[in-house]
Amino acid sequence: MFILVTGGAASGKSQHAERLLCERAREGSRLYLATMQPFGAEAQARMLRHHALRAGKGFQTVERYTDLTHIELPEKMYDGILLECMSTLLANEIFSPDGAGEEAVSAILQAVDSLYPRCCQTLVVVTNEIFSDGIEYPAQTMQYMKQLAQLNAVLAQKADIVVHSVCGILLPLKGADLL
Amino acid sequence: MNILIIGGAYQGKRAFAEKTFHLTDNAFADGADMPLSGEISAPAVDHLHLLVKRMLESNQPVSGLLERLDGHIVLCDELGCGVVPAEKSENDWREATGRLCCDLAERADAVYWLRAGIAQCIKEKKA
Repeated sequence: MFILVTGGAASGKSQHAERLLCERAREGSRLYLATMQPFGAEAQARMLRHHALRAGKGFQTVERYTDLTHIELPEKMYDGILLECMSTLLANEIFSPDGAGEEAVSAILQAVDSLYPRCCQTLVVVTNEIFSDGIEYPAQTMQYMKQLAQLNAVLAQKADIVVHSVCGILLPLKGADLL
Repeated sequence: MNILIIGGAYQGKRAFAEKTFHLTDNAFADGADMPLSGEISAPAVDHLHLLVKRMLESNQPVSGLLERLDGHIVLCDELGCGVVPAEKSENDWREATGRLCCDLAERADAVYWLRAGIAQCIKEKKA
């Protein structure tokens, strides 16, 4: 089962993603794959919040910022992997010195293909809705937005379930019968 | 009754609230200019996102708002669907408003999401 969770900032995505995974994966066979780099107080606060959400639920945590295709996981196979999140992973791949640069989108799609179904029975991916403020940003930012939108569209196509969190309320976009 | 009405700017939240809950102009407190503390006598609060912004600007914790808004019809712009703001204060505002709306939605009897003037009821507590 491949589940894509989207939504705006502070809309309850993480909590739903984690619940959807825990419903499908046994405690002890859950992996949290974190992509956010701990730069700055804000990132650290967010990571602490996510960590508190997962505490006591039997998750292993692996942090990886780029090139997830060549990641070595502690176990060969998990019931569930929670990958959080596409917006930071894409930024890492584009802007980090060791990122995939112009090949960011294909590198990420390849990574998702290498994780599921080879490494887990259920993959939950968290992504973001960043497309609706109507602001014309510098070209680099517009290109980033376009690439995230492409990723979201391809992942949604592959996914069995796609859900959108609005104020913590989960709205199915695809695969409602599987929820 | 706790009601939450959310959606982007200019999506018809106010008109929907007035029609659905039979409210006139004086039934609304406005987040743009209402007092930052104290009991809210009006049954409805419009522009909650602006109240949150004003409270953050005057270094007041927004945590008390949940209790203050209990029993009200609350209208709030959805702020979270854009690019992460570069300015920390703008990002804090977006986060605080989003989290507050999650809390309001959780205890709400009904939540309506407005897009293009059309209200979608995304939560309704069974009586």
